[in-house]
Amino acid sequence: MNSHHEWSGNIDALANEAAEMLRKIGRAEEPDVTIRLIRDYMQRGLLGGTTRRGREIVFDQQHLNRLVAARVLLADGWPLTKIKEHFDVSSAAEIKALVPGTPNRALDALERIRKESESLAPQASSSSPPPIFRRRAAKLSAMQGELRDAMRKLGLPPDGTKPKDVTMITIATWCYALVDTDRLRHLTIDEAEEIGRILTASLLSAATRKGKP
Amino acid sequence: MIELEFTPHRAALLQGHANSVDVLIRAKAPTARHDGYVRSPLNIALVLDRSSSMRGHPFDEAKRCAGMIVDRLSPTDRLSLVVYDHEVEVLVPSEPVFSSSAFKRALDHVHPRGTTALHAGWQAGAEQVAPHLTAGMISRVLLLSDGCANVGIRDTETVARHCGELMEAGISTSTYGLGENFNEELMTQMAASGRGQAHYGQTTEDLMEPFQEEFDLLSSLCARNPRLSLEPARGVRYDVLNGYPTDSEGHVLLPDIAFGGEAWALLRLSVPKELTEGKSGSILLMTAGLEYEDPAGQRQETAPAHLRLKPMPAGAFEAITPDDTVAVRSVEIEAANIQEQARVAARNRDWIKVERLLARLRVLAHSSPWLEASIRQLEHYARERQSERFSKEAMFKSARMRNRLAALDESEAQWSVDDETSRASYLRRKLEQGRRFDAGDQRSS
Repeated sequence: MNSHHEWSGNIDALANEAAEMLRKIGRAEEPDVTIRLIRDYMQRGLLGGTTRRGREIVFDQQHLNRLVAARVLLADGWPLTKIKEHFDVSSAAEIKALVPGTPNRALDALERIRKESESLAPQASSSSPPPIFRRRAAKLSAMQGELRDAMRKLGLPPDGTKPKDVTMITIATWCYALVDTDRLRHLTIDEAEEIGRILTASLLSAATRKGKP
Repeated sequence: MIELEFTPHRAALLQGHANSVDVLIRAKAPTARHDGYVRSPLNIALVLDRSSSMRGHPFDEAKRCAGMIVDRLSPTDRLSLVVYDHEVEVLVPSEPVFSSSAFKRALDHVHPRGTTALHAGWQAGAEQVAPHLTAGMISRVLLLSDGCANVGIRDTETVARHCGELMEAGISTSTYGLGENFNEELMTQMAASGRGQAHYGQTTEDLMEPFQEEFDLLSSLCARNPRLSLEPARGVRYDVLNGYPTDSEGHVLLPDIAFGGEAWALLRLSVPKELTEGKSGSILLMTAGLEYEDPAGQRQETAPAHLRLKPMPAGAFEAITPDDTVAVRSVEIEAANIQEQARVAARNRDWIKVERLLARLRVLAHSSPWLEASIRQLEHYARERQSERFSKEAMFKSARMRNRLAALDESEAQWSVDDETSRASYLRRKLEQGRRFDAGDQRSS
């Protein structure tokens, strides 16, 4: 297959290709991309204009990029209306850059050059910088993708760790205990005594291993 | 595919002495394209100066050059057209070249006007190329200007640095200067940092050939972004005399290599006396390796090359015939350095110093038929006190002598128009960098 082939296909192929792309960038846990979903996105104007070949709608690389980028942004918490607003003012390249796992060093380099150009010669640049929220969206999307990968490697749930309230009890100036606050509320006397014994034994054991009597 | 080899000036060391050894390291391509070779697809932005000085014949010729490029592209290539004066306009955003007519029509309605926002034009071209950066595709900005950047970012260091940053991200920059008024330092530095080609044409009639040469080269590349690693033996020091840039890991960045040619670097090794004493056999002085991208964009490595020389007593050492190729390339490097100094002197209108430097060149030229033939035009410009022409020709000739691809069948002992005419355009040793290689013109120089 020509590595430079730009994708095109019908609605079934679009669904399959999008699902494959999402799988490759580690977003396979997203709800499946269905034909019904695609029709909904078309109706919302998220995929842009389409063309027909006979009775069949033909989708191309740009539709695919929009579909995948929309799924990624939705999973990152962006509402569909906001996603459409972004897409309406974005170029095809900028939409493509929202899909994590497709880094483009040249675009990054140009962003740095653009910023430097603007600081050195504010009137020189003829291309206006993209809106900050698009860059933020792209960055957030990329960071969240990395977070999911890290979670997976650590065996943690991919939807992120849940914060816990803990209470720190100072036992001595050099000794502290961190206790789940919610659990602490239900602590019994027997449990407290048991924990005290365990703490005593643990401290003595650790001290002995270090060679102290 | 690429073979790496050392060629020392003399295949021995003088025993019991510290030695200064000139050595060529040569990265040789195959003689011809192999069966089934397909050139890498191109992802190009053509950025044309349309400032008011380009009005009339210059811009007509620029359009003709653009048409030549479009005609040589195919649907697997991408092209965008950008024009700039004090403002930048993207005439045709990057798209596959299914039809040349759309690109040609786009230029028909462009009318030169205004001043020169060169950096902004370059940046706009880069912005067209960047989104389509793909492994195995050659991504490049081709920028033409007949003037000096006088709007926006203008200083050479910043512009060249930006070209270098973009090159590290995968997009190279080639430049084309036209006439007498463009900034040759800026244009050559952009191409050097951007690891592309720097060309110029003295007149509009000389403009087409550089574009053709660039395209011939792009159509014949077999090794891109070659990075040379040099590991000297303990105690051995070396200098790379061509002035090639190095990357952050210390690799020497050679020019892209095309079929039928070799990229080369002249090294000067300092071998301490201790290494040449008490040894009966050859000693290892240096090991070299080359990494590069093949036409499919795959990373390749050559087998390492080793430089071993045997210490010999004085009589045996003197009996070894020095290598002509190393000698001539050494002359070219020295001539390049002298021409660079002469350029600066000409810019300062110090014609006495220019004449002194030309005299040194004439002495050197006894060893190089090409150099001997090519300095005549420099002498003419000096006699006529044509500072701009002298400066540009000296600059481009100097750069060429330092970083040119050499033909595999090149003869050091002779130079002739007929020999050079038979070669691929990117391997020719021209008499004048700014003039087209028309046989008649070259013979009459």
